[in-house]
Amino acid sequence: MKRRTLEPNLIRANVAASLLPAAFLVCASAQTTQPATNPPVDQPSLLAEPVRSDGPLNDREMTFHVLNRLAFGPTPGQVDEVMDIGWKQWVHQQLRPGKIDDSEVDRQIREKFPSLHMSMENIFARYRPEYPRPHTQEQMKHLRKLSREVAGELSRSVVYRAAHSKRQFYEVMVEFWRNHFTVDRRKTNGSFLANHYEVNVIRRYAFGRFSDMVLASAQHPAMLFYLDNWVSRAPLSPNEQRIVDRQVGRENVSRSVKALRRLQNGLNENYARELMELHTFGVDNGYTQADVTNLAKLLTGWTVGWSKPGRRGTYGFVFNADVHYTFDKWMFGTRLPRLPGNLALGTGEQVVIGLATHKRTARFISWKLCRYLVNDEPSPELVTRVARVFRRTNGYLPRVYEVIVNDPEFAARGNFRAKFKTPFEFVVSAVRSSGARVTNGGQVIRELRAMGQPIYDCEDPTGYYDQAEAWLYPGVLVHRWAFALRLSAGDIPGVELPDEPYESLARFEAAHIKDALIDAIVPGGVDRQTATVIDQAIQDRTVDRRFTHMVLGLILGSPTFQQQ
Amino acid sequence: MESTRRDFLKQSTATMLTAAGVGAIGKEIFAPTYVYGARNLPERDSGPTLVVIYLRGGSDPLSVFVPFDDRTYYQMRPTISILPNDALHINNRTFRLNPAMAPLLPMINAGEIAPIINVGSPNDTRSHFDAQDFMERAAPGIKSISEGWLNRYLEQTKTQTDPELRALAIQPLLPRSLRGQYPVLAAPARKSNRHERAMAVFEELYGCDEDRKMHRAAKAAEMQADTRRPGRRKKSRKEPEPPPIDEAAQRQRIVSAGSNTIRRLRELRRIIEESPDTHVQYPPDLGEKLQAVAKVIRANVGLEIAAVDYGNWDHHIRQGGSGGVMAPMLANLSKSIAAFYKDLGNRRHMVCTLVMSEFGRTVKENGNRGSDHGRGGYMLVIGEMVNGNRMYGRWTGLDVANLADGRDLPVYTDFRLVFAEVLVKLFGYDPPDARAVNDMFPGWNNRGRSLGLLKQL
Repeated sequence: MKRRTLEPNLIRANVAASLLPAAFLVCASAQTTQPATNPPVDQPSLLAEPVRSDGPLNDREMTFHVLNRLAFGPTPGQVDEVMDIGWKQWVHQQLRPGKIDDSEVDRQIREKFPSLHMSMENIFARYRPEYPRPHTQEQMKHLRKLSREVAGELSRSVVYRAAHSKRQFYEVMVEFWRNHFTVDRRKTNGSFLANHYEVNVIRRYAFGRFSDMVLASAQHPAMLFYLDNWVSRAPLSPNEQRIVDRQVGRENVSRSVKALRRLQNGLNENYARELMELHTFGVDNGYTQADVTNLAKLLTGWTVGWSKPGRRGTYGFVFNADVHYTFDKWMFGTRLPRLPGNLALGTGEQVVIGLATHKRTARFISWKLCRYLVNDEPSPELVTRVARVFRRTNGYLPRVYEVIVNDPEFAARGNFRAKFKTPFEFVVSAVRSSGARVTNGGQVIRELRAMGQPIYDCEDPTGYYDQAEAWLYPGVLVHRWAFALRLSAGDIPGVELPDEPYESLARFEAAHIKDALIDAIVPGGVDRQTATVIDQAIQDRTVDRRFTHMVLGLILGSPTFQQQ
Repeated sequence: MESTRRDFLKQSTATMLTAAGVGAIGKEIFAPTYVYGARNLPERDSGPTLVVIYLRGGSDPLSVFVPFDDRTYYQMRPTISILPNDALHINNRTFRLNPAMAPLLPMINAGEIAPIINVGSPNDTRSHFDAQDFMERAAPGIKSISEGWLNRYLEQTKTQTDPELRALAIQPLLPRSLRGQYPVLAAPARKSNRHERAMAVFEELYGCDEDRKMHRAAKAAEMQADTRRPGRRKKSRKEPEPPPIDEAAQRQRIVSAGSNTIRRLRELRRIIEESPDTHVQYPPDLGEKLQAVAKVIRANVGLEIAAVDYGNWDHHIRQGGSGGVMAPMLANLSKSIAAFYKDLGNRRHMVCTLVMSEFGRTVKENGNRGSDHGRGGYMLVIGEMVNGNRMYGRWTGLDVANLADGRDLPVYTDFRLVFAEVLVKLFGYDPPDARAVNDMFPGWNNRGRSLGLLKQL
């Protein structure tokens, strides 16, 4: 570790403390070379201004930038740790998450959230006992309890991993894909299927091939239910339609007519549309309504079921050839081969993979990744460079991530702290920055709901928006401030703020404490307005533990901390 | 040429019929009074207010308006129907009212409530989420629209002197109808000590006092930019914004959002606290929210739109008729609305309330003494300005041939017809050109119809 301007008395004060406070105190000492006790006397404008604003990012800023964008913020001391090995080396490691030892977090997940690694059959058996209908009041209560339990395990595991996994970049990208292929658990069976979906679709392919992830999501019950493809059936033939029309208005009809009635309007285009509009091509990007309808026809019969009748066997994707559209199929003006039975499934799969590797998809996904990792409005040139690699590697995601991170635009001064954190990014980075440990994410999840970003409950198939505008409306920041104050006071149940470094820090002068905390939490420094206000706030205060917590809360709620 | 409010409805017809080349026609019909958007309001402090109550979950129309003369109704709903003698007379040959809604009877008899039946979305989704989306964005079937209809109205008609509380949602999160470009405060009715403390701590950090001046200046500059580009269109998701936002610019936006939060939330709290006690008794939940809205209206601070949600109308189980789960909720709704109008005092005549839900429910009851997601629903338009004493919407009975998919009430009246009429007649919404109409109600052709729900204010 680089101990640059460390003073001997600080080392002594620090002897008994663990590595964690050591990192804080190192920062404190690093800052003491600058006179920070006196606030600037004349403050011409209260306009927020960054401390440094030109030239390329220095090593410390760059490391902080990397930890902000490719991790959910630095933990105390992490900036120094990463500077020791060099941020490029850290990125190199993070791009190979399989080689990072994260066994402690994995063990916690297995212990605390067993449903996450269950098969769907086992989840149903364990969390959805079959009571005869209608249910009694107790049965209803029990079912609701189990449903909450399985949903809670997933949400809490998401928070836990984001906050504590060593594979931070992996978690950052999992959050991206979770949002890209969003499913809302409140729709049909969602809470029972999303756990499996998270592990077997999102986490499995986040560092794999994009087309594999598209196909896996297309054939996962969570997505099939969420976007209604499981009910999509081939429309009636003209002859069948005639039979139905003849019987309109009659109540006593034969069973076969009833079956036909159910089938009419059977084509559901919801998933086909979103597959093009949201998952692959992007909205209005070179396809027509006819293409959507054609794609929907190709995907008829992609449904969900049990391999044996009566909820037995395995549960999952089923291709039902009986309701599959068997007439001529077209895609983008090309007629597709007419194949019987299960072979028709292969045609559909090929088309989905074709969409996922298409050049328009390459561009749309590259743009969305750049927006996530670089800037709300990435330059077209950057997107072109990234899309080229997407195409060349056939959508192999680690290579796509790599080219974004190594691009000069990623490291440009103009992109430093240019993004506004989403509620999830804010909450997780606040937990990490304060050195807190999540023992039960329940309260954090409730706070996220209050901030408008509940986990796996996004109302729209678009997922949550990544741009600042979506989150910057009046009324939202007050939740963040309250969260910052509660977290820094150790007042959030299930989130434990460590004693150290705050107790050790309390032995120092107010100005030292402030500088130590600022440098550890926002190593790029805070804006002048924030610095001034904190300076005023700490004047004439007795220094104790509550004081350090107050400074921590001010920093976490400051405008600067909302940026990454 | 002086444009009239009624022309709006004709206008949207023109828009839809000629799709692309309509801009020119629209311009000829309308010589807009203002360059960008228009509100032909008299004075701010006496302006009208629209209150939107959203019943989330799909409220059952047949438990509100009882077709007491229809044997099919009693056959289809053996345990959740309401007997003719229990239901309340409302001067209608087909329908009587759920007895739980007695508190609204005086207003109904005074012609201050216009119910609409078989109203809903042309899109036949039975998903709560899709249906609510489509309705709150007034864009059925169009998923690329992300702004709510009320927000689009606010954005189109904004001025330099908009009051802080021009629109408001009394709940922790903004409903989708109010989300979008125009900044709207969402806050719960009850004061939260945690939030008060947070505001006190961060007030200085977010440059509250200083920001007020800057806020005005920035807003003026923004308005100027808008007038330079009168026909400004919403950017599509694909179009890149010209200058990327850097650290300082982003921080400035955060600071001003923060001070905006504090200013507006403080104003709301001040109004609620200083408001004199009117001794009107409100029921809990919805009542509490409406009481807060009433206080803001009585404070004359230019509140134009208020939204409140009332949840849990998805009665799949034990819905009941005059008993069950639903009746107490209808009673709560009715008492809340009655109390609200009593509380408004001399501002009563300027307040219009719109009660809506995403869809109706199956005509036949299900195996759990409840009902499932359906299609056609009901809406209530409330206020002294409505043409009451009658039911709106087309009624074709409960014969299975006349039901949607043989099971649900059909949708004969598009909810956008109601929305458009409220905007036009209540606020004098006067779209400057065809494009504005299409921005407001994307891809909609109302064929020049108007329900005649409201009197000209």
